[in-house]
Amino acid sequence: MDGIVSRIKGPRSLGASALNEPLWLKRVLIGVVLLFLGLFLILPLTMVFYSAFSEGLAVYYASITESAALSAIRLTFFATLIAVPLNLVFGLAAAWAITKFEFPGKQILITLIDLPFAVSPVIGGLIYMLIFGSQGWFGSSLRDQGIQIVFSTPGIVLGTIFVTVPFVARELIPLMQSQGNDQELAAITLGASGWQVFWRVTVPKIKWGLLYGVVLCNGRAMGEFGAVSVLSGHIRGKTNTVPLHIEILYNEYQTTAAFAMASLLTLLALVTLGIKTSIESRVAKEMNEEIS
Amino acid sequence: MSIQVKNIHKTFGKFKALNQIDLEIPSGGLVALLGPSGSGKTTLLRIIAGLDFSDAGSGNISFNGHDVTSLAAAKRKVGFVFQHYALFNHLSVFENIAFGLRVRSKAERPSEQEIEDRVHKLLKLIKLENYGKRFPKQLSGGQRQRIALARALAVEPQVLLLDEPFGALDARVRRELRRWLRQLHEEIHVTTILVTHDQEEALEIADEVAIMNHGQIEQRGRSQEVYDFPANAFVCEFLGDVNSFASTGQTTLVRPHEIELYSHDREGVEGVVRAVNAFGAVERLEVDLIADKKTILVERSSAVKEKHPLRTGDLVCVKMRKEFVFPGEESA
Repeated sequence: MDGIVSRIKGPRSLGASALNEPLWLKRVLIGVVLLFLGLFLILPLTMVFYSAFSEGLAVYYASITESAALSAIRLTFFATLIAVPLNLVFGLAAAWAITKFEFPGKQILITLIDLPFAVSPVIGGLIYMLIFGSQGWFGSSLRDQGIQIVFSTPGIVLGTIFVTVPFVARELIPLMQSQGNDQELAAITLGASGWQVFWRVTVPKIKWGLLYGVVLCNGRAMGEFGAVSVLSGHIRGKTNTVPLHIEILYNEYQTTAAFAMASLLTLLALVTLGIKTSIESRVAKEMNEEIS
Repeated sequence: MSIQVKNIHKTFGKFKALNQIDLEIPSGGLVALLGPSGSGKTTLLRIIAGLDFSDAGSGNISFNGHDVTSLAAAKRKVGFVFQHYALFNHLSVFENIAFGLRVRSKAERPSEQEIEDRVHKLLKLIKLENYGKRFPKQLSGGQRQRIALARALAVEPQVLLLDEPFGALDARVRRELRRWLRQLHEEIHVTTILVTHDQEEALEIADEVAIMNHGQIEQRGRSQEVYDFPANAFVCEFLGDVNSFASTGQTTLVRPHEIELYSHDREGVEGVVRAVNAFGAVERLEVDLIADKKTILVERSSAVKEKHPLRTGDLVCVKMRKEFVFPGEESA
């Protein structure tokens, strides 16, 4: 059916004849966009890989397998492995609370979730320094108990969590608001327990949004620089994540090694983008099925 | 299973959604809760289902005399059908209907074979036998609502609660499903409450209707009864078109088909035909009353229409066959 709905909602409908611009304008606009993309995105991206492999595969391989590099990769994975699941749980809980219940301070909660997007990650790092650093509020009591947070792995994990807090929640809140909870209520009247409603109805309903949030969160967690940089202390082989390691290599004029590591992050970004696009097209397909 | 609602109150903030509701529904009955939006009918239905709770300290809901007021919705054994179907989009039609059986504890869950048998029986009942493998999004609104009904029936509910079940469907499908639902009710005889704002739907399907307004039940009775003997002006106006004549201290309401038109030489109130709408079985005329400076609506059967044809501009005499007189000035 080619109803009005599909025409309005259909993806990128071109051809409203009144809006047809002259050909030269179309060409100039497309040209400008392509030039911009080429100059600022595609060229640098190619350069990353070009520089990474400029001294051959052996050097590339050596750069990403030397012990400091491996330790940086391990730490990045470790921080991500903690931050992403925590984020998933928090995001789901926050979205659930905001969409299903009425409570005072709801609006403030929604705003607070966005805070890490609004402030510079460096500030996030500094806040934790202020709280857990040796001169900070809990600094002396933590030292007495022999717990080190800043300039150590826990600090890096904290910094990563801080900057990734909004990802899952921001995906889920609008999604769950638009879906309403009729399906959950129907499941309840059919005798399902709360747990069954969650796993059999809610999770399938939000799975794409959830995955989307997790993928973005993952990309950000692995690439985070600012907050982690403040909290890390840059101890080589111990508290360096991949982005920090890249910076150090670059500052030490080990350009090829820096780009080799950078190529890993770039690859991660491309994979993230790929998954994100495929989720989007799946959701769009499901939406279209609904309309027709 | 009979349903008793006693002294139920519900307030949202300062808004009184339900004000002292008492209602009894006999076992096997089909009762419609009829009212304009905001009259509290859906709230009442949700409270009966356990999806919402009445104010603390107000009365109670019982099924067959057993108090269920504090029983969780999952344990009330009610079938609930939502206006927008609320089907599980990620599950096939078969799995949608089987859902209520599959979530049961191991001890109570029927075997795979029994589940299959029961689902197929229900698919047959709703005349969608070959649709088990489809997904809700591939079906029309009317088909989806029938599946929602089968899903509710699968758990063999004690009562069936329908919340504007045809509200999202187009007029033709709505009429079809209406008749089908009535037939289905004759077959299965589950105590049913139907919420609707469509008076035609309520009067056609239900054994009895309860007309609600501002959180109260205005009148309760058989369709014919409430139509012929409305308790007040609101009920009278809600159940069909009326011409209303206000005079000091009272309101007179007259249904368009209770007005007769004669040629102007007879006795009666004088009027001029302003417009004629002649399609269908009933002719609808607008008549300007000369003395009252008021336009009234008149309906005439085709037999009368053919005998005394009227055209725009004709002078007529107007006579009321039957009037409803209620105290008080004109209502909403």
